[in-house]
Amino acid sequence: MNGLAVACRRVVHIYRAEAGDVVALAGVDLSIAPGETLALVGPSGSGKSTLIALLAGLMRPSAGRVNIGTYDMGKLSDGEIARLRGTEIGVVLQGAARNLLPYASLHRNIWLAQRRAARTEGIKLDDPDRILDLVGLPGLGRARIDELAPGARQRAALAVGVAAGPGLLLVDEPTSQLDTHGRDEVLEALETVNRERNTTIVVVTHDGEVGTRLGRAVTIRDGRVGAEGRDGQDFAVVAGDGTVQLPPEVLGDFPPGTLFTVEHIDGAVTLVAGGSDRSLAADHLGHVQN
Amino acid sequence: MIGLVLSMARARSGQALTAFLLAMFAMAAAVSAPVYSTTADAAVVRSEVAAAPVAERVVQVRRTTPSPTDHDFEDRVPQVFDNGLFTSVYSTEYNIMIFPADPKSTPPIAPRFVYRDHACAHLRFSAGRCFVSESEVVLSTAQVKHLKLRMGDTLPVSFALLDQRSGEYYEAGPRVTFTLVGAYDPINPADLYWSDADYFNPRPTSRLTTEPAFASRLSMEAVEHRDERQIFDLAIDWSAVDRDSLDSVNAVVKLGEAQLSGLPGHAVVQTELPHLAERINAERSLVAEVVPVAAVPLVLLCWFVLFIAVAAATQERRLELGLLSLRGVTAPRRWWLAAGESVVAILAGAAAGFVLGHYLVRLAAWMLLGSSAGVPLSAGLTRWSLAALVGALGAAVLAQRAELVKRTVDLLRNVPSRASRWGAPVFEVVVVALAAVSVVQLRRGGGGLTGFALFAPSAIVIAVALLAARAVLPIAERVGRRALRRGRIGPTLAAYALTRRPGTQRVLALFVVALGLMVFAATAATASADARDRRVRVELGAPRVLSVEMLSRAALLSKVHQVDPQGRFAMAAAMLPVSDDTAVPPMLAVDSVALPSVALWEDRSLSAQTAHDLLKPKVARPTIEVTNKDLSLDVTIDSLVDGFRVRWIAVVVPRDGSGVGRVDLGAVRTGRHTYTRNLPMCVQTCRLAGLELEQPEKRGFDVTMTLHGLTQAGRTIVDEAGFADADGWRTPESPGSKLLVPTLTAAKDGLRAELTNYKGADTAVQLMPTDVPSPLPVIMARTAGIGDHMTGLDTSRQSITIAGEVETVPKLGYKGGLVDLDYAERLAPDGGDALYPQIFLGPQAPADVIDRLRAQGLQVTGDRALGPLRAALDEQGPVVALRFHELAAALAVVLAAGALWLVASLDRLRRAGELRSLRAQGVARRDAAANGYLALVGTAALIAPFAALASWLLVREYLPVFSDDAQGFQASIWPSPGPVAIAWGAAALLLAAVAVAAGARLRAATARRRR
Repeated sequence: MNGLAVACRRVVHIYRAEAGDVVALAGVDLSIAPGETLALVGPSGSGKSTLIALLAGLMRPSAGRVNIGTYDMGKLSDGEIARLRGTEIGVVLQGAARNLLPYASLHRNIWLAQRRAARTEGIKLDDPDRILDLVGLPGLGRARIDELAPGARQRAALAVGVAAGPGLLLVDEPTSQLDTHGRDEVLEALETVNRERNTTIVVVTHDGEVGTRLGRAVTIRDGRVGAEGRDGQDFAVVAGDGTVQLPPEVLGDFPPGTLFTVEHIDGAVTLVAGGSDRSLAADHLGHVQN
Repeated sequence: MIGLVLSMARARSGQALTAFLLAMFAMAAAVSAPVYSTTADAAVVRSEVAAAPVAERVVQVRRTTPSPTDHDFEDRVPQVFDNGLFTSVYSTEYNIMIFPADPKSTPPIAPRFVYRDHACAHLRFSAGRCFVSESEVVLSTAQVKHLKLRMGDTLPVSFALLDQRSGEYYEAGPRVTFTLVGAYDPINPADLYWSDADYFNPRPTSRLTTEPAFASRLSMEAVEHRDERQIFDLAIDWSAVDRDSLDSVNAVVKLGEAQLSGLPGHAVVQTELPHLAERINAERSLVAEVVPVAAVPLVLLCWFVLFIAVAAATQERRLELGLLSLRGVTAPRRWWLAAGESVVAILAGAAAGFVLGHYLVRLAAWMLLGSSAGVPLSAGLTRWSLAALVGALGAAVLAQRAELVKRTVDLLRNVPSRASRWGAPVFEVVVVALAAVSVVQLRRGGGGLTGFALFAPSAIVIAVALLAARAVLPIAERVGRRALRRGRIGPTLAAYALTRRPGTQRVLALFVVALGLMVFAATAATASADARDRRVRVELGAPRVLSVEMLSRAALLSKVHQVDPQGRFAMAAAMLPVSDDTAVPPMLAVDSVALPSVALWEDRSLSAQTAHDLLKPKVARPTIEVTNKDLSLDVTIDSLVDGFRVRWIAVVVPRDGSGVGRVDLGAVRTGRHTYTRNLPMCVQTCRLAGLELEQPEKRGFDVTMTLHGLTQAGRTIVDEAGFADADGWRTPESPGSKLLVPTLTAAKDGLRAELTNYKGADTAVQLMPTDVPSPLPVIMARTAGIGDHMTGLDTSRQSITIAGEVETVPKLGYKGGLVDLDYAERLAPDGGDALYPQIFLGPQAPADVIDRLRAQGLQVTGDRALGPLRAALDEQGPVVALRFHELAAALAVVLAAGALWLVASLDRLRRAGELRSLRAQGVARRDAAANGYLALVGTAALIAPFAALASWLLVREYLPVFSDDAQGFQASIWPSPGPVAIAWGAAALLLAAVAVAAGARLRAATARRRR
């Protein structure tokens, strides 16, 4: 199975509520290469979970486009999206227990998750024991969720998520309630899945370490892609509409309404605050294309 | 997948058990209808058969053959009636004379000489044994005593015939000697075996005996005889008769009539069986109609509660359903996985309910009806069972729909179902429309409680319940807001729990329906009981009514007065002859003095005492009483035309009722003469009923005369002045010109009577003292209708005046009227026999009243009392069916109590966190756990009677809660409130108790969490 590419173009999502509309995503641009692993980080309410729900096809974007592999998620019917989730998109919900039927063994949980792909779509899949091996739970096929330690439980949830051999695995907060050891086991399992199956993995997390381990961490702020870290280095990102979010530590020095002049000299961009003698050298802001 | 479903059921065993129990209940309720119908059917048949007269229970085929050796009849009849439903008893008989040993002291008797199949098995022998050989005969104990015989005596017997002129039996063949071997008494003279042969009813007869002499067939053939009556009594085995075979019974009877009529001796098939069959059919139809009316809402309630339970359970599984959807499980498979555990539980529950319902209802029927017939699998049973199962499965699937159609993301976020803005109102409108349509069909369709109309009673209750539940919630919301403003936390939380808890409206409607059904059932049952009470009271007329052997009206009055001179407990009564005029309804003559203390008087607007006063007003002239001494009539005949052999007759009626006296005072002569004759029958005094000019050939004549005086042994009874009061005398009423009567006028010297120009018409020269009010006052049932006359006791036309009107009169109900027996008797100079003589006995009648009456020479032939009559009515079809209504309503209330417990349990789980928060914020435990269950029950208890009332008022006329034989009795609109209130109170108390227990459980849960 090859990993699936993900492309979000100016994705907007608005929650309609009686008290007023809430803009959860305000134009997200994001590209993920097949087989890439990526962490979505950001403060609570920034839109991470909304973005992952859009990627899983659980919701439709209010505007913009979400492509998973060759599929334009906005154009698929509910049935087609359900089929995708049963075959090509694996989802692991926050909280391991929510991913597993408590009265069924791990075998049966995995079997149920494979059912759509195996029975309806006729895809040949790994047997449950092989999948449990993959996530580091060999020989626990007959175990139930209440018999597992928290870390094993989360890996069991991962096993269910990858049971149908998806090209894209979406994982929400897999390490939030685990200790360091448990977190490492989960991250190892994710790495194994990625390595062995070339599965594209998107993880929502608050944990910076997870971002670091996964190699690429995209920060969502106020419904936009605010920054991106790659290989230990942080970058601001120019959005599709040309906007750039300043890092919070810089932004703190400039109250809202501050005026800048932008000077572009020899590939370097300089922001000069109007009416002020302070200036910000903004060179090396990444690969800004003029 | 099945394994997964079973794992689910095991993991949520509580929910599975609930679905199992509810499905079991629904199936049991559904099965109960046909099972109860079948059982009640048998009970109704048994009751009708038990109450039916013999003529309705047997088919009698008889002929009189001149050739005793002709066995064709004996062979053919069993063949015709060979359908397995009849058991036959063959008998043959003729009349014989048995001569006593000492003919001088004892006259011979002329009994029926009878051979009857298996007679010996139905006789008990006070001496000797049954006959064995052809020379042996057995007689009744009374006959043996009468003939002064001993066992082993020989007795000469001959064929006997009745002399039509003298009415006496005479010897009509050679004598044959038999040996007396036994003196018998019947073991049970009322046994159906004896049919209506009337062997054992002692009565005066020229036979000098009524019991037969029994012997064998060969003995019968040994006596030379001519005509012989051959009889087949065919008794039907009613336990083997069902709706279909009833038709075949009727067909066999008709076939028998056709096939046997050609036999020599004019074979006749005689039976009233079709009447009984018709009654049984009608009763069966009523049962079949009424039982489903109760079963339908019970089944609907079961489905409804199942719906609530499954919906609540599905809500608890929202995340799980979301997970299945997330994994891309296909929609059909998700439906199966969601419904599977309910379906498995429902299927198991349905199987258990089928068996349970079957046997529980049979147990209930056995306890309620004393009947427990086997109920085979039938189309009806299968239909009900399938409907219950499909309904239960449908309810379960429908209950899951709200969750299963949700978006995956909403399921995963555990977003509660939002009440559809239009769903509930549309549902309510549909139910109201359904109720309206069913009522219209019921009232206009003319098909009774069939088809859509079957739902009418319950649909009305459900419609009212839904509308009321919708109206109540905003009120509760308002109460909650007001309580909040006043700072009353408990009531606020209770009101908000009521209004905002999911499904409260449904639960409230459920309670209203359950309580409403209970009130409806109690109302119908009470109305029926009231109607039966009323019918039996009216139709009987008194707490106890004795029928007595035929006797004269005067004797009846006299003997009853002897026993009860003040009229405290006994009232003589007799029917007036049926009038040729169809406008005159049946009339009952009663000794109205006793009316207030004896009769069961039903009318409140006119008391029995007032009725007596109206029926028997005081009259100016007292009755003229005479003794046995010489009676002298002083009269002047001025002219007599065509009056050949006309004689003066004094009509007197002895006070003891010993018989009317028509005393010939002598041939009429012109001029003034005194006609004198003693009155031997008047030793105990007589009432002078009239003075009459009688022409023996009943030819008409003209007469003009003046009556001057009437004396007896020197005592003036009526003087000239007395005769001169023309109003003091009357003549027979003479409608039209056919019967001419004299014109009476007052003269100086007496009463002038003139009848002229008869011209060949009939004449009636009768002068009667006006010792009764004229016209005669009557009290009529309001709906009976009567003109200005009736037929008197002597069949003469009598003018009447309606003195009062009542709704019903004793014995005759809505279709008759009352007159005073004494006055009616005075109007009838024939002194004849009472028609259907009866004695009404009041509550103060002494225990030995029958002995006292017998001491007066009255022969009691019938004895009817309220209790047995009421008990017989209690076994009729609708009553039996109404017991099922009550049973079903009780089950509905139990179901509602179960639903309340279920809802409270789910509520407890749902509100655990909320309760904890409230307690943490310092809210008192009692306030925090305020739940409004009791308020819910109280509200339902208030609404339910109105829902039941609406249903009752709309369907009452069409629900056969009370069967009647067209007498006009109907179930009242407003039955006795007591039983209804008790049923309502008991049901409400049960629900209240469950509400209190559920509340306590919630409080206890709060306490545990606090610790």
